[in-house]
Amino acid sequence: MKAVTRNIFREIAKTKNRFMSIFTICAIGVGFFSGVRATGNDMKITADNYYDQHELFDLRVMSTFGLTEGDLQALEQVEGVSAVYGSKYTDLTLSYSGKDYNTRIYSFDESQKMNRVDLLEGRIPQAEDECIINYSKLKAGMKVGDKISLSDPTEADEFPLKHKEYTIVGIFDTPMYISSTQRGSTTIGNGSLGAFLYITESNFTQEVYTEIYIQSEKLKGLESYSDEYEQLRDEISDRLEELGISRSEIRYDEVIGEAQQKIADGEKDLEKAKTEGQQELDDAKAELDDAAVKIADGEKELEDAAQEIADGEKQLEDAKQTLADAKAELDKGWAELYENEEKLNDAEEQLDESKQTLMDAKKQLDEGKKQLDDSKAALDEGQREIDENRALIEAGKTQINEGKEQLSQAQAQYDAGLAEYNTQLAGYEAGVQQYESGLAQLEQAEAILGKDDPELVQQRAVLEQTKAQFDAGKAQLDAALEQLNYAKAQIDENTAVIAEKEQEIAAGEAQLDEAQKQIDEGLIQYNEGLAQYEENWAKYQDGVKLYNDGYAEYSDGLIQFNDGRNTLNQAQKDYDEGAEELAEKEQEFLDGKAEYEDGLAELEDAKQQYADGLAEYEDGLATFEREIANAEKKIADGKKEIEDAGDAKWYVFTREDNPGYAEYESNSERIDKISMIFPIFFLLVAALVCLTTMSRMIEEQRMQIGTLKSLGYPNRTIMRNYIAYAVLAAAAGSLIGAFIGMYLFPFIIMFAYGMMYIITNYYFELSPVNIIISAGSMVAAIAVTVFLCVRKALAETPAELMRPKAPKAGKRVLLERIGFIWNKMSFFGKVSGRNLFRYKRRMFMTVIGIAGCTALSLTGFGLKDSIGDIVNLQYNNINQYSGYIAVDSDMDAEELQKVYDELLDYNPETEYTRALIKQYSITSEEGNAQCYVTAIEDTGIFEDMIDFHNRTSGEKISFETAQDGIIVTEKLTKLLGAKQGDRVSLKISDNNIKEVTIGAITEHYTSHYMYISGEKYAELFGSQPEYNVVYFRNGISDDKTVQDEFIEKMLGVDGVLSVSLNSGASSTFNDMMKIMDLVVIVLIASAGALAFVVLYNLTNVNITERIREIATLKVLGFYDNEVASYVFRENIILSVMGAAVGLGLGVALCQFVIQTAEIDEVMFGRNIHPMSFVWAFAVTVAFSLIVNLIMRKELKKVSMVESLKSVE
Amino acid sequence: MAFVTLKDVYKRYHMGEVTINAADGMTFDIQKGEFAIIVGPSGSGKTTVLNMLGGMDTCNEGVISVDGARVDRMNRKQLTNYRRYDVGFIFQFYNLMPNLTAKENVELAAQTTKDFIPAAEILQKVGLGERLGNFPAQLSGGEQQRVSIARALSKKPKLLLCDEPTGALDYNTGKMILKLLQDTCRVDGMTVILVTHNTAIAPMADRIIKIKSSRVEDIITNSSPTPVEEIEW
Repeated sequence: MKAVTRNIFREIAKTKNRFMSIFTICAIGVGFFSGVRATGNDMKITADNYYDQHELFDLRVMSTFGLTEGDLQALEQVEGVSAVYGSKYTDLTLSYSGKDYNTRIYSFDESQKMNRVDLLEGRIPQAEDECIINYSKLKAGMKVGDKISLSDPTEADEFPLKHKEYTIVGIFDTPMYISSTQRGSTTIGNGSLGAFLYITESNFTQEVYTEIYIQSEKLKGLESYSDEYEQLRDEISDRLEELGISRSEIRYDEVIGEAQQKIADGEKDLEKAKTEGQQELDDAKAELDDAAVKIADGEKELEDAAQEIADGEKQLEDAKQTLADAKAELDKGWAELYENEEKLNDAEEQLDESKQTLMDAKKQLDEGKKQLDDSKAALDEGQREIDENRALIEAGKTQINEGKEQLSQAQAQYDAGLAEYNTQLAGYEAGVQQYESGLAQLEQAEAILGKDDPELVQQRAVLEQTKAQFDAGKAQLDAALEQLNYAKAQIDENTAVIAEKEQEIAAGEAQLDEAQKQIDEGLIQYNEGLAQYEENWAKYQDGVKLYNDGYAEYSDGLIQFNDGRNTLNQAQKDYDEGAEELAEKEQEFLDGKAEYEDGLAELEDAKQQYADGLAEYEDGLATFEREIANAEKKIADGKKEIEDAGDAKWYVFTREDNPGYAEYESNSERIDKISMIFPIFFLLVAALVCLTTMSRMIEEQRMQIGTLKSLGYPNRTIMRNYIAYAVLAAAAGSLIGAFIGMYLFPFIIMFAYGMMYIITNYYFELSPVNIIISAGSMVAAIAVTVFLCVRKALAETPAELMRPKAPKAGKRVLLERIGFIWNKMSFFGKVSGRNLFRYKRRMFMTVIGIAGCTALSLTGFGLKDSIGDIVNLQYNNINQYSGYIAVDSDMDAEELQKVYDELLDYNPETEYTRALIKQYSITSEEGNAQCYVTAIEDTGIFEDMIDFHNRTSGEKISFETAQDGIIVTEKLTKLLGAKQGDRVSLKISDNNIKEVTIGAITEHYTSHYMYISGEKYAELFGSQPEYNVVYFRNGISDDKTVQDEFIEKMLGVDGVLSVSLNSGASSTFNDMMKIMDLVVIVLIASAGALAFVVLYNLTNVNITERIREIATLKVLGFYDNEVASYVFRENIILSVMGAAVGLGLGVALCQFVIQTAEIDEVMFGRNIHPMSFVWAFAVTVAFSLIVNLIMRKELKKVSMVESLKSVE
Repeated sequence: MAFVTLKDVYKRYHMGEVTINAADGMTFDIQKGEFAIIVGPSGSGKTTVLNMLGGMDTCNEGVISVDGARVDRMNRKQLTNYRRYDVGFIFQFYNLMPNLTAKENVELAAQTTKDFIPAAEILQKVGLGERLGNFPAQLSGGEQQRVSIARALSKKPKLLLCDEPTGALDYNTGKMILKLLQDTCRVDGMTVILVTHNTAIAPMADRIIKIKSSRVEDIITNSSPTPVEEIEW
């Protein structure tokens, strides 16, 4: 990178503030300019996309006679038509939670071929009693799943739908009604629609289509609001209307022919009904006479029956007496029998008791016997056991004795053994003694002979041998002793065992003796018990005998009793039979009697029936006569209807007739218009400030330019340097601004409109042309300025450039010459005053910049005022009438009087007059417009209803004073470029154009009118006016319910088509205009942002320029406040000056913007409210103060060391 | 205590990681009514001393007192008042407001205090009685500097601080200015501190403070100052 190029980037980094200022100003300026300019188009594209996506129809055909399948086919053949769809609708009253809504019910297009709905919730209707609803801002609280009911407020004979109750299954938006506030009008209720329903087509009882929608592929390719679209659409529309003429005739013949046929049929039917009815009535009469005869017969029969009943009753009484006697006797017999039975029962009871006693005794006895036997057996068992034990003891004793004997034998053996042992031991001891003496001898010998003497050795061996024998003998002896000791021990042990056994046996014997004793005692007891038992047994036997005797006696009694009972039973049976017979007879009698009574009742019924029949017959006769009369009247009515039916006529509608469609377009056009001038001014201010900044920069850089030049850089390179800096900042800012702006502003504005329309899917078009125009002009302007500035600098020599430019000499200003002011100014005031004029260019730049911002703000506020005023001026000041009623133009005087009566009934003070309102085209040399020619029946009254006056002079206008009696609204004359007294052309029909004079111009804001008297109309048009509205003034309140009531009442009058109230129109218009508020806020906010950046930039320049002065002031000990006021005093003065200039400029700009932004249909207010001036001024000054506050910090940062530096 | 005292004054600047000692423990006194010259080569730290004495900058460490007031301990507001009421400052480049006349430039300073010498009187004194209504651009460098001196004196400061007052002037004019300053000291008893790199003018001072490498190298008390007229450079 070359040093020079690098220098640019260094410069940018060093002067970030300045670079960003230019960047920001360009961004805001270009962003606003391109953004607002793009909005109108974006709105249209957005809407067009929405319409295309929802397949909104292009044209719509309706007919006074309905449309048929044939019409549909014919329409399809029309050139340019690509799709047709027939639909049905009807207007009914919807009731939901106690409230009624005027509702239009459409047949649902299952295929969604056209006018596709957006289901917001739920699903499409499938069953016949399902519906989807669109109620938008009604906020009725209806939701999916709720039930609603429909009713026909006109109470026509035939309900147009199969069902009256529907379940809401979905909520939808439809492209046919894009406006959230406008829902179209209807002829029912208060005249304005509240909700829409879609239901299945099968639900409609009518066979013909209400309307046919038409689409054209070619139109779809065009943008909805474009001229091309409208032109092509109108062409197709013309073709449809042409087709309508022929189709209408066909339809007329069809319908009227059918109706005439129907009437003929009706007449025939009537004749038939007459004869048939008469016949029926005669038959009925004959039947009634027959019935009378039958009733007389019946009466006779019943009298006979009554006699018979009396006889039967007597016989029955006799039989009852006989039977009663028999019954008494029988009862006596039974009583006796029951007595005997009781006695027998007592006896039986006694017998049973004694039998029981006997059996108990027997049982006791048996038990006793058994006990005795048991004890005997136990005793015997005990004796046997004792005997066994005794035998065992005896055996034990024998064993012991045997043991004893064995023991004594063993003792004897032991004793013998011991003796033997002792003998042997003595032998052994003697042997030992021998051995020892032998040994001693041997040892003596050995001592003498020595040990090795053979003899001695032999001796010793013998000795040793002997010794060994002795030792062996001793061992045997010891073993024997041991055996003896063992035997002794056993003997002792056995002796002990035997002693023990002996003791045991002695104990056993003692026990046995005791047991024996017990058994003996038991035996004695047993014998006693046995004796007692035998005694008792004898007693028992006596008892048994006694019982048997009693029982025999009882059996005899029983036999006697049974005999008696049998006899009685027989008697009873006889009696019962007799009684039964009597009951039968009695029943028979009663039946007969009931039959008689039934007969009596029947007779009464028959009499009643006869009376009823007679009445019915008489009613029938009356009904018959009435119905015949009705039918005759109906036929007469039908005939009249056919006569009155009028022509079948097609009406072709475009999307323009959809509520909100055209309004959307005018809204987008309004934005377009505003974007024509407002943003340009904005852009100019931005450019101006950028220029100031850049030229200032070049001035500051003189030295550098000089240095570069002296270094030999060609002018081109130096130039390039600065242009690059400027273009970089401006282009970057402009492009970023354009991109942001072209999304931001359309978005904000469309969002604002989004509150009024259901279209929310925004489309943005980044139009290159738009970007090139806005960014390009900005960049070009800056590049050119820089070029001019640098060229001027380059013209000087390097030496001149490098020398500091002589500081501008202080100068006395003009003000100083005016001593009395100058002398009164404070010292700082003088300083500021002089400073201001010292830098004239900067002063002008600042003033213009700030003035621009103020002007923009004022324009914003002014725009808001003038739009806001429309409602107040038009609907409160000018329109003095309460409303107008559209009436059928061919009403007769009587019908009209009814309307008047109804009005007077509401308020006897009501003023009213008829008028004819019809739209005509009016042209002048300079322009043309559509205007409503309003012919007034009574101009005197009408002058009270509309305040006719000149806006500028405030002078009253009347039909009398206006030239030719023609009063024209102000905007119309503007569009026509005409003034009072000019002649303009009124196109009465294609070949009848009349010249009329603009007699007077009246202040008026919405739509265009030409007011004339009825007589004048007749003169101009050559025919008497067919009045179609009634203007009235009745001081109706603003209360919505009161108004609705009134409207409903008026709509109830025959011939009333619609009722429009002034306040209703006012609020609709007001809603529409409210949207403009947000747009205005955007304008003001943007202007404010611009003001801020401009002021910041200028102040920044100011501080940089005077940094040395500021530092010096600080060194001189000026307080921060004083330093700030030294700098900002000028800023504030400049802001105030700028704002003041801006207000003047703003008035002009505002007027210009208003006139440009105004749509043809409306005249905006022309006055800016005083408060708007205050606000615009305040906004500017406030921004100025905010900038000052921010810059104070910058001032604080200025180092005092700056003051010590040399002058650059 | 001396009228002006600097004791162990340190001033450090941090340049990234490097710390520069602009004043590295400077200590000196100046008596009331003295004409003191602080002399040293460029970058020796004399301007730092001037800034600190003038209340334009603060020290990091040490004591700076002027007429008993501790300048080193003053806050922003107190420093401003100190500059406003106690110090007269004379710049190398005069620093006059280009948009104010000579008289107005003096008034600008005088306006800040209650007790001041009227602008006309002080300008008369510095020999500009005839040029009251002239703008700086209409005055020569010497005249501008005299306006600057008048501006400093008009508010009756305790101390006159001069930053290379002759730096931008030619020899003769410079001499005249020095004379004016010396007279102000001698006649009015004003304490004058003059900062310069020009050693040649040092002999005119009562006290010469030589500064080198951020330290006080030498303090010379001159009992017989040379009159300005005899000084040559």
